[in-house]
Amino acid sequence: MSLFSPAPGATDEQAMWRVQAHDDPEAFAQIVHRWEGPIRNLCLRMTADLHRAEDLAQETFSRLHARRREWQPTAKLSTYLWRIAINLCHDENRRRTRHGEVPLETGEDGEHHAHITVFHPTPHDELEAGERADQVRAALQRVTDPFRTVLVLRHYEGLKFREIADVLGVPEGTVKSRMVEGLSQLTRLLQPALNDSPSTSSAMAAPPPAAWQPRPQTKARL
Amino acid sequence: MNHPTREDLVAHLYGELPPERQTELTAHLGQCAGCQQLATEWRGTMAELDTWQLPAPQPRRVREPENVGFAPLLKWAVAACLAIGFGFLGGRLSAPVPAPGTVRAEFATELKRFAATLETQRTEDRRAVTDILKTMQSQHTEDYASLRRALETLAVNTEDSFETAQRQIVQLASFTEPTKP
Repeated sequence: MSLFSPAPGATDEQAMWRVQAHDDPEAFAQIVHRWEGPIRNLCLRMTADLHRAEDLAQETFSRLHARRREWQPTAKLSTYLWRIAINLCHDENRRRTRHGEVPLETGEDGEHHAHITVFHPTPHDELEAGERADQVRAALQRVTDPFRTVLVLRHYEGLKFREIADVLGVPEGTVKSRMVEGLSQLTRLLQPALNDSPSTSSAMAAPPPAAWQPRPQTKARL
Repeated sequence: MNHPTREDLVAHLYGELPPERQTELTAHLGQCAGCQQLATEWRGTMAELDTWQLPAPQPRRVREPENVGFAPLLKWAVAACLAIGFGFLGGRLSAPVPAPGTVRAEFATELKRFAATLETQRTEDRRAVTDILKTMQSQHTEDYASLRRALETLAVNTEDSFETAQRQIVQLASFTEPTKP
């Protein structure tokens, strides 16, 4: 560790400042270490493809390093990172849509699950897949891109609507509208599964009185 | 009854409304079947979203600090240096020590041989320089003689030219214009 290495407790912005001003590799490694998990998860939720998600996460950090001079020290690094990753995921999804493919991630058993197409959904196959997680994953991939982005950032990554608005560069009201539309699309897509699922049926019959409990934060400490 | 907007409802479900507004909406959902149904549907969808758990990240190999990566090489290098050093030291210590007189005689012989070689070299150099000087001297003599011959030729020619010019001047001076008939 060099004399001017970032302190272990340095904020992301302090580390990024060192990268920007001094090309400090240790500071950049610190940023990567903190953020590779959340960024990889985001890419995986957005693409449903494990290997592409890892490639996209790597590309996100490559792009962050290449554009380190463009980063404004007054801005939050997390906002900048999320934006780069989201744009890369959008590009990837557009490319795959042109080719009419929606690859699914590798399962835990190392085998690839059956592929479905965006424009030719096969409900029979979905029902046969059996696992609700697979259905959710497949359904989420069929939600239109801008709405899926907000769904993923809010529900899985735990960003507030205000933070999502900063990442996407749109008003907070627009983010909420997209969330409403995303939830509505997803509800329609999952309706057969929701009706068949006993646990969900009971949940719908007796809804929890409390508001949705946030998941444990996956965000790195800022 | 004022129904909340769907944006407010989704913010309520994610707990992003101010506390008083959150309370109002909770009370409204208790009274409005339509809003209650929509909220229930969305809660069901949110619960479904939670069923998609991501696989645990692959264990990453901890990157070793850079200097530690060279530690094995460094160890081998130090070991090799120590082995060579000990070998050299052992060889020196185990060699028989020569008598001082013998060393001095050997050194004197070496010195004489070196002086002889040096003298021979200097003699050869001196001879070469002398040869070069002689060559230059002879060249200089030849050049001088050649120049002298050229100057003498020039002087003779010039003298001839002067005499010719003098005769012509005399003839010209003694020339008289013939009288016209």
